[in-house]
Amino acid sequence: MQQALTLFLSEQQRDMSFAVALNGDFVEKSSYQTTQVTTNDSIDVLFPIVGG
Amino acid sequence: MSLSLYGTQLKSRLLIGSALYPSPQVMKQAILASQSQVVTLSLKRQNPAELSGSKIWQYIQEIVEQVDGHLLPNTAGCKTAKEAVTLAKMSREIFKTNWIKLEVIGDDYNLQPDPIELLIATEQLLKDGFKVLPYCTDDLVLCQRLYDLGCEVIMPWASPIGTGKGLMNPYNLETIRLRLPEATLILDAGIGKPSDACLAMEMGYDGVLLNSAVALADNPVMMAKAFASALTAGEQAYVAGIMAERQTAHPSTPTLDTPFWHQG
Repeated sequence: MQQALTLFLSEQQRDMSFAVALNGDFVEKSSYQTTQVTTNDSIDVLFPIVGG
Repeated sequence: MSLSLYGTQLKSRLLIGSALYPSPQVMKQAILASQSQVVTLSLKRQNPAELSGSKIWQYIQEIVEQVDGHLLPNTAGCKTAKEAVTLAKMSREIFKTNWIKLEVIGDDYNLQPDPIELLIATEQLLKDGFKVLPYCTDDLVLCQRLYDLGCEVIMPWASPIGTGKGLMNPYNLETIRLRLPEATLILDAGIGKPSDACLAMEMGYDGVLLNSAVALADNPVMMAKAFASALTAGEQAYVAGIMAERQTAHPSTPTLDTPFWHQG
């Protein structure tokens, strides 16, 4: 997962607050290094935004 | 008279959103003017070229620190319990809070909450240690079910999100208040005018959550002040005890010994 995020996110984004889901399931930050990502997996990276 | 949300005491009974303001500066001024200590926000995907989310997040953090307040992340855009649970967990990691405004939308047209998925998500999140503030319809039985699951706070809608239609069904809302006297009830969504918020407080609601009514006003800062005043007025009216409505007229001025009373 860590490698995928490095490829997917810009340097600035990596410095921002974000959270990750893999195939619809939350992945804790502490698990990025140990989480395996394979072909056709879906990664969601979400950032804070205004909301009501 | 403070508001208690899962044991957290707040000076203001107004919860306010951070979206739709004409600028971040106006958002800040409006939130400060509202005296609210709870600010809602969300998570979304971001275009790699877009960094505005980071700036606005820092801005909201500064506002919340200034008012000694709390963030209330929402699960806007979720349509299933699974999506909402995942988003809640992501929010908890980023925002460092176990509060979640739980939204599970069942209809794209009026953004009506899906009661079935909402109950499923609520149960899972409560078990996982979240303090769930569920956004729901004004259905008494649904509110009862949410309360029975362990929600100390329940947030029925006034009307669909962003419509400004006010309290569509005051009877339902009053019934929920009467039947769930121990629940903390926050009226959420559809508020248009300060009088809507005042009416909810006169019913005995514990607070109001709104966004568009302030953010889309011609003068959001002045409208935020108006809402703060309306909530105070409504709360004081409820505590003071509103007179019973009567079917027939009763003179306010004593009739005995009024001038010319014996004439005609």
